Amino acid sequence: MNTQVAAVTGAGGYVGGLIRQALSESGWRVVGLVRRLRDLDDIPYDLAAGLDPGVLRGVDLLVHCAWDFRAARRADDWRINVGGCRRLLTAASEAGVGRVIVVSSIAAFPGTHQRYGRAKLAVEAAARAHGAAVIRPGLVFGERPGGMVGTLERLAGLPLIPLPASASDQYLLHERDLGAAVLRLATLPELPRRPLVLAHPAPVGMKDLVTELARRRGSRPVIVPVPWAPAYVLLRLGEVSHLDLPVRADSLWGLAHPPPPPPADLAELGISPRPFRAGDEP
Amino acid sequence: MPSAIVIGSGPAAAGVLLALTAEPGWAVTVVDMGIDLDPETRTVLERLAAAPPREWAEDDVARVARRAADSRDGGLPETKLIYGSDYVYRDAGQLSPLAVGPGVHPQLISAAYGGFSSAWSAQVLPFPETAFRTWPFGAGELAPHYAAILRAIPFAATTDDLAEELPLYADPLPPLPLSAAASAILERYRRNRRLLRRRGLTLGRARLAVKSAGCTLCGLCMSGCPYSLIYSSAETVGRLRAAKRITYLGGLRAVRIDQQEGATEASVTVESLSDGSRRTLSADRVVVACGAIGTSRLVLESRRLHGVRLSLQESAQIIMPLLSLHGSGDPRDSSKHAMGELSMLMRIPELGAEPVHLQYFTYNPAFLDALPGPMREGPGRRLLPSVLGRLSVILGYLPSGASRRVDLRLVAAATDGAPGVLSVEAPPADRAHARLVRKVCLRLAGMGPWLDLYPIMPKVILSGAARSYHWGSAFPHRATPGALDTDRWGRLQGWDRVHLVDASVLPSIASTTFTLTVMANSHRIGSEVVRGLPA
Repeated sequence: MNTQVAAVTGAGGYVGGLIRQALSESGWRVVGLVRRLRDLDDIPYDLAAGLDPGVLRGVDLLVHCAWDFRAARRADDWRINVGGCRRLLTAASEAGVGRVIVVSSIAAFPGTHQRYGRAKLAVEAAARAHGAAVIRPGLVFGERPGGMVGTLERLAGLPLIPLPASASDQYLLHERDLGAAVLRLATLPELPRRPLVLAHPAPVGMKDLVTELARRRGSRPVIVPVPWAPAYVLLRLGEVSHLDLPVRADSLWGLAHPPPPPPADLAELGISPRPFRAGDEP
Repeated sequence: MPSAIVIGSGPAAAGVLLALTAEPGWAVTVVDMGIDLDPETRTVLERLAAAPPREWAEDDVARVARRAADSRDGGLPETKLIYGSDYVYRDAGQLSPLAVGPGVHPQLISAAYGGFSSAWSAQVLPFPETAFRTWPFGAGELAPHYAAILRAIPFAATTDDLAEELPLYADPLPPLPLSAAASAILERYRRNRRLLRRRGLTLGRARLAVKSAGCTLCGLCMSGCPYSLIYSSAETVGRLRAAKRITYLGGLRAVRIDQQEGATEASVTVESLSDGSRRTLSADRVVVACGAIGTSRLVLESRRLHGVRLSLQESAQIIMPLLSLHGSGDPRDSSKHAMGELSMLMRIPELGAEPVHLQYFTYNPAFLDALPGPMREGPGRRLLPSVLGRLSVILGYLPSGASRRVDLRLVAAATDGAPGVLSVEAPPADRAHARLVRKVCLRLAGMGPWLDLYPIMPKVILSGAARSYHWGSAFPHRATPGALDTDRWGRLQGWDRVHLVDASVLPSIASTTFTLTVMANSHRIGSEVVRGLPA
C-alpha cells in the first residue's frame, strides 16, 4: 500500500508541529507548508500569497493550522488569514484533496468580540462551505508547551507575577490528545459537520494554571491579580508603537473573556481529552 | 552530420544558436513551448505598425498599452504586460507545481517565444572585469562573443565614460534621443565630471538593444513597441527559422533530459502542450537554455535530485524615485521614448571593486499611477506638470555578492512519478541590505548639488527576492567542478553531451544587467562545441 500523504500548513509552529509529529509517527508522509523551511519535505507557504493547487495534487489529507499573527490592522488580518484560508481551500478543491481539517480555536464561539475569535469564525464558515472538518482546540499544553501555555509557562518563572484575568476559566487540551484527535478525524468514515471543541470540559482558573506551570518548573512565584483592562490598554499602546511584546492585547482579551464550557460530544467520536490536573505530569 | 537539440528560445538559446549555425554542417533542432501573443492582438499590432502614431485608432492604442495593476509591495507592477497581454508569464506547465516563500516573486520561468526577452528593458551592458574573479576564465575570453552578439542584434549606444569599464565591443547604432530631463542630467555630469568621478560615479548613455533609427518617440516602449523595434531573442530564432538553418518544434515542454553512461548522444523527452503525448528526441548534443530556474527544475527532475538545495545568486533590484530641483517642463507635452536613458556605475567602499548599476528613467505613463490620488485628480492637480517635470526613477541593481540568495529545491510529489514541487524561498532582506540601499541613496543625494537628483527616501524600495529577473549560478562554471558545478562548457558530471548554457552557469551576477553576458557565454559554449571539445 502506498504511504498516505498529509500536508500541514503552519507545520513549523507549535500546534502544526504537534500535528505533523502525530501524523508522521502514524506512518503518514507529511509535507509541511511553512513560512521558513526546516525539513526536507517542507514547502514554502505564505498565507497572503496563496498556493498553487499543483502542490496539493495527490495529497490525501490537508490540515490547515497556519495563522499569521503579524497583521496590525483588522483588514490585513482578514485579508491574510481569512482570505488565505479561502484561497487554500479552493486550491485543495482544485487539487482533489481527499480530506481537509481546519484548525480553529476554542476562542471561536458565537458572540465573541475578540478579533482572533471572530476571524476564526469566518474561517470556519469557509471550511464548512468546502466540506472541511473544523476543530477548536483549547489551550494546548504538554511537556514543552508552546503557544499561549508556553508564554504562561515562561511567565511562571518570574518571582513576582502580576496576573491579569486571574479568575477567568480556561479549557485545556493535551498535546497528544490533539494529535490523536487529528488522526481520528483523518480516518473517520464520515467527518462531523459541527465544529469539534477539543478540550477537557473541566475549567482551570488562570491562577491555578500559572501556579501549576510554575510548580512543574520548580518555581514558587508570588502571583498578584491585576485588572485586565489597564494591561490591555498598555499592550495596545505597545502594539501601536511597534514594540515587540510577548503577549498580544487581543490574546489578553481572549483570556479575560473565556469561552463557554466545551460540549460533551467527543466520546461518541472516540476522542477523550485528558484533564489538566495538579500532579498529572504528561 | 553532427546534431544538436536546443531547449528554449530565450536569449541563451539565441546566443548558442548563432554559434551553432555560424558554420554549415550542424543539424540544429529547437524544442520550445513557444507561447505567443494572441492573434487578435497581433492583428492590432500589425495595424499600428503600418501607420504613424497620429493615425492610430484610440481603441488600438488602449488595447496594446494596457498596464497591470500596482504591486502588493508598492514596487513595480507584479506583471509587466506586453501589448496588453500577460503571455510572457503564462503558466503552460513550466511553473506548476510551484511553491514560493513570503516575498518571493513567482514569475520565475517563461514559456514565451523569446522567453523573458519579450518583456525586458533591452539594456545590453557587459559584465565589468571585476565580476569575473570567481570565474574559471576572464572577461577577455568573452570579448569576441560579446562582439559577435552585439553585431547580431540591434545595439544603440555611444562611446562615453562607461566604455572605460564596459567596452562597447562593436560599432553601435546611434542612441535613442534623450528627453529634456535626461539631457540636463548628462550636461550637469559633463560640467562636474571630474568631481563626480572622484566621488565614485561614472555616467553615460544607456546601451539598448533597439533599432533606434525607426523610433517615432510614441512613448509606448514599456508596454511593447508597436513597431517591434525592441529586440527579442524571438527575432533571432525567427530569422534562423526563415533561413531554414534550424528546425523549430513549438508547443513542446521538455520534461526530462538524459544521457546513458558512455553514450555519444543525449536525449530530451518532450511533452506536447496540446495533447500531453510524450516522445524522446536524441542528438549528439542537448543544449539546455530554459532560463536559470527552468533549467534548474529540469536538471533536478531529470536526476531525481529531491531535497537538494540550489542556492542561486541574484543581482537585487532597488526602485528609487527621484526629484530634481530644476524642472524640465511637463513631459506629457513632448514626444519621448520610455526606455532607460542613462546608466550610472556607482562605487561604494563596502562593495570593493564591484559597482552598483543605476538605470535612469524619465517620465512614462506609469508615473501617474504611482502618484497619490489628490495629486492626480484632486486639489494637487495644478502642481502635476511641475511635479512630473521634476520626477524620475532609477532602477538600481546590486552585485550578487551584496544581494540575498534565492534557494531552490525540488520536493517529491505526493503522487509517485508526478513532477516534484519546485520550492523557492529567500531569507528576508536584513539590516545590512537596508543599510546598503540607504548608502546608495545618500551617496546619490550627496551628489545632488552637482547632478540635481535627490532620492525620495521613504519611497525607495528593495524589491522582493527574484524580482530583478537577474538570477542564476545554480550550476556555476568551475575550473574543478563539484557535483553540482559545470565545466566551462556547461556540463555536469556524467553528462558530457548535455550543455547548460543560460544564467544557471554564470559563476556570479554583476549589477550591469546580465542578458548580454548570458548570450555571449552561450555563444562561447556553442562556438567551442562547433570547433570540437577535447576528449
